[in-house]
Amino acid sequence: MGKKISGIGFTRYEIINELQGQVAKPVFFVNFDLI
Amino acid sequence: MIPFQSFTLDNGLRIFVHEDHTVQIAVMNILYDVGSRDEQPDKTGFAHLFEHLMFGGSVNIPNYDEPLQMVGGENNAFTSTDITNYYLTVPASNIETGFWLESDRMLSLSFDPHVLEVQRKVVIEEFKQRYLNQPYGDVWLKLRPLAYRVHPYQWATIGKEISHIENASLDDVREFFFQHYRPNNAILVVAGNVTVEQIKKLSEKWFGPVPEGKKIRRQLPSEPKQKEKRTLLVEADVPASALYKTYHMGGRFHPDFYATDLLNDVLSRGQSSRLYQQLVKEHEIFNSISSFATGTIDPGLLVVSGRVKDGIALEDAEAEVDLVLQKIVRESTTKEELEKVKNQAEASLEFGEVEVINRAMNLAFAALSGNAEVVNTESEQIRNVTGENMQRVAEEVLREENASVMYYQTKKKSA
Repeated sequence: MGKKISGIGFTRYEIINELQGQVAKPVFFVNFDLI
Repeated sequence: MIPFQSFTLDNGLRIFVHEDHTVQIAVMNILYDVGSRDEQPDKTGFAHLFEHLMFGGSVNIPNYDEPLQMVGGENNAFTSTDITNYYLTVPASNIETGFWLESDRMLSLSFDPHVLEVQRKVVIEEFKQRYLNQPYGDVWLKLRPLAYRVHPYQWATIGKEISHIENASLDDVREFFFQHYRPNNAILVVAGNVTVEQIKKLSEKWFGPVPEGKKIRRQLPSEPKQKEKRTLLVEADVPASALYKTYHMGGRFHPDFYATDLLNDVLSRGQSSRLYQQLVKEHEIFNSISSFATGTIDPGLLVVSGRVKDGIALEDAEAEVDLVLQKIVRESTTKEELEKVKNQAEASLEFGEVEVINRAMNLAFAALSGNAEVVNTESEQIRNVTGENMQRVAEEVLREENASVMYYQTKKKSA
């Protein structure tokens, strides 16, 4: 369905969020290997 | 600060409500306590495949997206080694549409063979695109089994190999769903312009009738303590050679996590960090370098990775990294460094709580630890880290016998 956040290898301070327009943002959980 | 109230339905669904009446939206975040660590070694990639299947129609609703879009909603989902997380945002007055959609797909999927075939192809394509056909894409497919010999973290969320997805049958899918996608294996957070009373009523109405599943006792093999350094040389068609050095460390909810995380920040967060200053700027060994914690629920990895400059041998680059790491083990950090990384971490936490959806996700993940309050004590825990704590974890973690190193060598160099 094309629903994805891509985030291979990012640290807890970065997340590439499609909804937010590719911004770095912090998350409580670590989003390493999050597909 | 994320104020919340919680309650549990008779079927075991844990529900957390975070009211924020300053916004016009409401969000739902459903975390299922299942990730790739729960897969069988010969059926990997299932948790992620499942995430895709959850958008392929449920027992009473053939199309998930359309009704949500009709009420102005958006949604997405992700899978990790530990969790599968679904979330949606709607105008607050339309929150019941979210309850209708999410409860129906928790009740049962449609198990339409055509949907499985479509999503199987999508996931296989994703495997190829991200992991096989992209420069450096296979790094973690190779590095994970080097660092983990026993624990299921030895395979990536996407899975070990494409054949596992190719061979997934509808029976496998049905079994996985009824084992893991039950209310007693999920955490629901509703946040935004809603009230606790309203959410209690809606939860009873929509999720109350979903039957409880068999309780799952997770029994994963523990990774034995690593006793000697492991190395792997890989040649690949990439523009620059890269070094990956991992060390075993505790999990996300281990008391030492914050000290280790701040240690990473001293090493590589920003251009004033040690690794950047010494190895990118001064010695010009690396083009880029980073260090981070994988942050998994079970014991994770501290990872130092960097792309080296042309003409620098990977072994030499590693020796330079080791010098920086040994210094931090010997002398710990300065007061100024500690204050800097604490301020950075605190600022990140504050910014992270600006958006309602992030608060909802954070709360769900904290609840998974067994104590949702940890979401509100993180700042304090970071503040409490001392230089001594960091030096102790540096000594414990940054040992050669605890390291797994992958030398990812560009083919250009060996030609």
